[in-house]
Amino acid sequence: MTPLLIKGQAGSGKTTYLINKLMELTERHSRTDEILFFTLNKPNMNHIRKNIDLVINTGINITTFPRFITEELMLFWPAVLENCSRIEVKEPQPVLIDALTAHEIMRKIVERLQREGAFLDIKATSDSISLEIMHNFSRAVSSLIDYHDISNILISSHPNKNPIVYKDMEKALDEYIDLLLSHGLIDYGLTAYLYNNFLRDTEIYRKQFEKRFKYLFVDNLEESNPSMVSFISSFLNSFEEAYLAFSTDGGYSMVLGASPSYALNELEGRCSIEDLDKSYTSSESMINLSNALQSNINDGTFNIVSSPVRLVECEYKSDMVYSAVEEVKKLISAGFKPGDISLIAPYLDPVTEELLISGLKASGIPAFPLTNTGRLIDQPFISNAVTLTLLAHPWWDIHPTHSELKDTFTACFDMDPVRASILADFVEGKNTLSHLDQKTIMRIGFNSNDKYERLLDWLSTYTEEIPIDSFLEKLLWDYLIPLPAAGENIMATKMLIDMASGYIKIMEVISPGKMYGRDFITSVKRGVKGIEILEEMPDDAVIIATPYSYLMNPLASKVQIWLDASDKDWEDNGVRPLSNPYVFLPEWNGIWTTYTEELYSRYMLSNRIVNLLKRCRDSLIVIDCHLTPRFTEQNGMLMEYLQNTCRIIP
Amino acid sequence: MNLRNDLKEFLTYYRGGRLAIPSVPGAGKTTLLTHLTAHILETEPDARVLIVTYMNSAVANFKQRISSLLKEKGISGKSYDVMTLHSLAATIVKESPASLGLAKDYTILDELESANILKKAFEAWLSTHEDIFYSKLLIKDSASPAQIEKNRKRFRDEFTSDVGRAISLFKGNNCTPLDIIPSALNLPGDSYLRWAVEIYDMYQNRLRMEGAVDFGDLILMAYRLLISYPAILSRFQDRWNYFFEDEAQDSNLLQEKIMQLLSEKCGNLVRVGDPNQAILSTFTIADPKLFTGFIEANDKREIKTSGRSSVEVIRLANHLVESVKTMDELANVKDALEYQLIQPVDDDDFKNPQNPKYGIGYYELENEEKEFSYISTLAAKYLERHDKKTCAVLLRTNKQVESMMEILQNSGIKAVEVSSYPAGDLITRKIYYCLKFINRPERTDNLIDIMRYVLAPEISDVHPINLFIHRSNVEDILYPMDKLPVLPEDVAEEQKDIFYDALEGAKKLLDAGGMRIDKLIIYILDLLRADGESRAIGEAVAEEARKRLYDPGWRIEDVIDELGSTKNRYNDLAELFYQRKGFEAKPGEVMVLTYHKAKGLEWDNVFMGTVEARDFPLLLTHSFIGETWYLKEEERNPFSLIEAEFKSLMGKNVDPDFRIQAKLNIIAENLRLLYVGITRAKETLVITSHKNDIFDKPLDNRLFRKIFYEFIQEERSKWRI
Repeated sequence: MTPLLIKGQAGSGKTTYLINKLMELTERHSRTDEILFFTLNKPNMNHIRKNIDLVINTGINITTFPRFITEELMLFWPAVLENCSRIEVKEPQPVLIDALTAHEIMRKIVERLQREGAFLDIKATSDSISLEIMHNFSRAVSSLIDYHDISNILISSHPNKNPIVYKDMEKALDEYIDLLLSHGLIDYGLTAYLYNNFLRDTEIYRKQFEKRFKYLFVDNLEESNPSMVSFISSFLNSFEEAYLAFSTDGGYSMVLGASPSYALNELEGRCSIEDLDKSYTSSESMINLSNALQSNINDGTFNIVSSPVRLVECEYKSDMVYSAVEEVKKLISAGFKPGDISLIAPYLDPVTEELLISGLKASGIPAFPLTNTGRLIDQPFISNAVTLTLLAHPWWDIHPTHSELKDTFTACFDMDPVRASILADFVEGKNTLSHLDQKTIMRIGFNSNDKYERLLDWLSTYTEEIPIDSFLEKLLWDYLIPLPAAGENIMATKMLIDMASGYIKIMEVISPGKMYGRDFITSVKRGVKGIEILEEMPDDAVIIATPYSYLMNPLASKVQIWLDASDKDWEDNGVRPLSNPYVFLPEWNGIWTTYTEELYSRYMLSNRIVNLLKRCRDSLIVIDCHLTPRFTEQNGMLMEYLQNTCRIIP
Repeated sequence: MNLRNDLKEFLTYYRGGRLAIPSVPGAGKTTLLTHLTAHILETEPDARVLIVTYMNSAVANFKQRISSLLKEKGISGKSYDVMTLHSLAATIVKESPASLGLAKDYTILDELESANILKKAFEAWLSTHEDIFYSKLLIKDSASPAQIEKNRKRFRDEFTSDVGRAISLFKGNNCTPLDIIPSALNLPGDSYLRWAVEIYDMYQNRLRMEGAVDFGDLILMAYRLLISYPAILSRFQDRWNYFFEDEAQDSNLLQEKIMQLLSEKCGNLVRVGDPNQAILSTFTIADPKLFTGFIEANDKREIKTSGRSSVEVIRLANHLVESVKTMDELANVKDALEYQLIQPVDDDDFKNPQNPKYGIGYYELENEEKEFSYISTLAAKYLERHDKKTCAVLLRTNKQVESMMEILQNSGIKAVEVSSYPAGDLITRKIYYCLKFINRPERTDNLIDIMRYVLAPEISDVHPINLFIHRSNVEDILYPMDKLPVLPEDVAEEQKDIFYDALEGAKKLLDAGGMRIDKLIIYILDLLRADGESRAIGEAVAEEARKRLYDPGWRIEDVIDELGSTKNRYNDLAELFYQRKGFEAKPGEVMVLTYHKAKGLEWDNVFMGTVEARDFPLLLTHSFIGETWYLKEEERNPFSLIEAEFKSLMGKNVDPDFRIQAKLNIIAENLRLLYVGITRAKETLVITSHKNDIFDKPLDNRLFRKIFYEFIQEERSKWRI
């Protein structure tokens, strides 16, 4: 059967179409494990799984492409080892590093290089630079570019820039990859690199693949990168049936390497086409507005439509928060449900986000933020665990501050803050904890003294350092769980323990035989982010998201409220001092200039707007804020175009 | 809004192109620019105006006036922008930070932060250059070790500050470390310029690794972006087609170049300024000669009339200008003031203020203390007699301002400083006390402070309550284990109630202990029911504090200390906020401020204080503040040496007598400062001076008596109603 390409605009029902085809297939064909279904990401994966009603379940491979190739790599690792000589460690399985640890490894390399005088023209922290290098790597790999060519591509695209910075970047990346490969460690970039170069096209693998998978479903083809498209193209003929869904509005993950035009060019000619033209998630008014804005922004036209958009103007961020909450309240009174409403802003600092959530909560309206900006150490339970860990390891020479001790004693000993502070005063700075003096005992009371004594006892039994994950387990079970209010924080601590285990595992490989507790705790204190706990999105809460996180989730709303419309981040094109997402794309040709930069700003702005509007059924409310948090003016393209295109209602 | 005739003429006169508008003080520059903008927006369908001004307070002022004028005329739309230079530079940089090598989340350091980093860079440099650095010191045989150490510290502090100025100089001349290091390394090892460049390099490195830029960088980067990327320049050239610059006398080289570039396409650039009010050039890179050059090279139309001041004040100001031009003693600074005499208004609708009697006086007291005390007496009398009028006291230094504030307040006079956000409601201060208390609740001082300044400021019976708190343990008051706290008998019942309520508030504060700092501050704001302005500032403070503590090197105690110091970034934030609202002089209170801060403001009566040789050296024989006497003679005044060496490195002509020239520049600026002082007064003016310095040595005030006293006496005798 000829593969089928299902084309349609955003919200035209392509995913539903795929799901229906899938159900049909499972009715005719019982070996569902021969079905391969690629979704955009985990949230979409979960969404599809929920919507499938299976009679027989032998397990459908509903997965994302990165996950898929990771698993393939794991399965076929010996074959990879045979083909790739750079991997020195010959273990049956590779060790997969999580993004955080990978970032940390790269950061250390960059920091060292910075001190040695590298990256002179770049005004950024080692955190920032290492992230950019990782992005360059994953984008290059996604576009089937050998990582050795990365710096050359960047240099030739930016003739005005000093090439040394790109050479510095190459140095860092080479060191990083050598380190990982030689120790049998892989991160996402390496996974794709190894799969594409040392596994996918081998005879053994291909024979096996064709036996295992007979049916292919691909959702969000427009957001796939060349690596994935190449994979599809390579195996397309071997599938008995293939269904590919492609949104003609897509491309918002271009900054991650997606290339809609490449996908079409490679695959359209080999498929029969099914065009879907309805819109189920939007209204005529929104679509008109979307089309007008798209053409005005990209083509310089001056179309005006009568689509109404309510505009609220504010001076300060605090006004903006207040207005946003008021608008939501008005909508609720008018009969909308919280789940019908979304608040979208390109960037919300933690304070503003928190204020929005608590403002809504205070009015009895539940809110759910999609972005996880949380650092582990910000969670009180984690912070307390860290403090106790530091007390147990005085030889690390890291001493908890007075404030940290006070908070720990307040929580763990159930003391009032004043007495906890007194106790903290006593403990602060001491290398070995001693019994309390009479004066302190009198002030904090016998009860608390008992608890303190018990802590001393517990600490005294710990004289020799054990691996940090084991220590944290011990701390959790022996000491923390029996304490009051431990219940809701156990998950956080378990996550900490998992991270510690992961961290040790990797460090052990790189330089075995050492203890990593101090390093790990230091990185937690530095502010490492928690692994995304993908909480279940509640059904009926106001969603708070960035345009990107909103679009990456299978969401649609009746009302969207766009915040901070003058923020230039709405038109952010993802270009950074060291990294440029566009020069790795297959359609790239030539030199990067400020003209191109503006072109892509416009493209990204209109792409975001179009996709957002097509998921908005009823109405759009825009809240504009004139001033940044530092009280300087801001003016971005979005406001300008909105004012000139639609009918503004004050 | 009615417009004075001579200003009205401008509206018809200006038809585009480049125009210089030199104007006298109080001429109505703001009014003119406001009307000109509105006029252009009204008559030209596609006009888009940019007004660049110097201070945030001016931005707010302009915006408010233009929008009400437009409303009056029935014009809608917002085809104009008002920005400070920094704001403009930031806007330009935002077009493509990546091209400048800037991380997306780059930070802009304020003056305090950059000073901190500079200090660290200097200390790092010093650690490998100690010997050569201290070799510049003059060591007297009789000097004690303590004295020597004192001088060393002084040298360190003052040199660091000189390096700061040097860095501004470098940046203002478009020089990054990469640009000057090669030539600097050819300089001898004891060259001040070489040291400055080395420290500059270290300073920039630190900034780089933190992904941060300072204000000087911002302007330099904006300039470089404009000249390197024609597409971006074009974008800004198209964004506006009329460029108006206010306070052009304070412009610097890069600023002028930026305005030049932006206005090149449309050719419409109007620059308004008063060369006689250039008072920033000795410590910033402002260069008043740039504006005078512009005036000479382009079409000019002056505003010579001013309706602000009474005729007596105008005559005094003009007399100062004449004196500078004619007196022998001031021959070497006769270009300090332009020959621009103020004319009173000749329009019945806009008359100058009139006085029933001659309203200017000059008084010389024994010493500074007596002078301030005298001012205080006069200020009290003035407020009593003229409760609907405004007045201010101008002094030379911040320290003097503090001193004067205390004297006024002790005499029961309502005195405000110009960095005025309502002193009573300093939300940053309140947050400080709350955090201090939450962090160390067991300290009785913290409880007392929080009671007094935050939770129960209305308690009048402070003393017995404080005593009570001092005598008890805080934990027994707030969380008694057995016995309940009992206030002493002599405290009134309602006071007791207030106190106990406040204790509940204190406990609520402590409940929030374990929160992250920003959430904690928001919690405090909620508890204090902060709203409106306080709320906006408080939230900004919360976000700043959060970012601070993200740096693992910072502890909450450090943030608290920062909040508690008089000059800190949080107060700067608050100040930024209030600057946007502008300063308003209010009757019934005395504003106390430095001459520098008085620019652009006006009061019915002005006390010009400290008009003597120590605070306003006008002759080379006067001693100069900041004279680095502790250095060997040929090494004195490091900054002027650096500047001279730098100029010659850049191929510019250097006056062989540059040290003298540096002093003459200071004298010139002092004269302009006095001019600014005089022209702040609308009706009356009191000039005070003192005869002896703090060591009781007599000051050489002859010139002041000659210029002011003699003239004032003469005028008074000729005075007729």
